[in-house]
Amino acid sequence: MDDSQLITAAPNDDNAFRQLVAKYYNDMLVVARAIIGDSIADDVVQEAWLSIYKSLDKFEGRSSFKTWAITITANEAKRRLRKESQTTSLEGLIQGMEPSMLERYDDTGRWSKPPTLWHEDSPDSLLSNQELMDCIQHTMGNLNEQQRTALSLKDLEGLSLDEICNIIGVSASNVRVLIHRARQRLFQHIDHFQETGQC
Amino acid sequence: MLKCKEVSELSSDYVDRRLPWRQRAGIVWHIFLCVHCRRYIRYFRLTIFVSKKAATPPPDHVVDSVMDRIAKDTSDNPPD
Ligand SMILES: [Zn+2]
Repeated sequence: MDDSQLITAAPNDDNAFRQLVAKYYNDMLVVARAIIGDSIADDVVQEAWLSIYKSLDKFEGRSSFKTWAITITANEAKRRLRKESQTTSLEGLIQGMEPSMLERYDDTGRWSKPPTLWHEDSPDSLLSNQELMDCIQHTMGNLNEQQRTALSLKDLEGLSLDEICNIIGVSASNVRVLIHRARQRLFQHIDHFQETGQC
Repeated sequence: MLKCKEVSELSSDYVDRRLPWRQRAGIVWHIFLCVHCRRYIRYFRLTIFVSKKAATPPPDHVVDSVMDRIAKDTSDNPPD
């Protein structure tokens, strides 16, 4: 069955609903983790599924089911974040480049510290280096909340900039910058790892 | 000609194909001539690729916990 058939069947058919959960749970978990952290992300996603279960008849198919589910998850995560009053301001001061990246250029805009020649410079060789993959996960975990959310939605979930704007509630140009700085930060860490063997 | 720093600033828009053709052509020309930026753009693409793969693996038995949650809610709030 495709999504629209599953959604139609789900209110009266547990098996159809289970298929939807299995298909989209991880996408939602990525978003919940990005907004609120690991510890209660699963809880947020379960709560989101409960909302989805109750409002399946309101799904109109204007966006994809995935986008709808992710939006509900993001709203639930943000509601919890407010409740736990750890909320950070969502429209911060944003510059176009990762600060540590800026330091690699001189006053004339040329490289003063160009990229190292990477030992591993094919996708496969990078992926097979477990220490490096750990380093990347670690770096992602240390991105600030906005950067991590924007990066996850774009590069992991493949959403468009417009969809991301709606979910995290910042302007398109700020989403663009959040993603760019997160990627540059990751680049910096991989480059450093290739040079020194350390994260 | 674009500066190396400007190539860096535009690199996400470039790899995501979001640039107007004139700026895109400017970057293509720059990385044709500049070995450092050529390397940077290649590594930047690799960075995006491997970061996608470093995403956390899926947890097991999640579906059951969702169904339990819904069952519990339904028994706490039975329909009229
Ligand atoms: Zn250059």
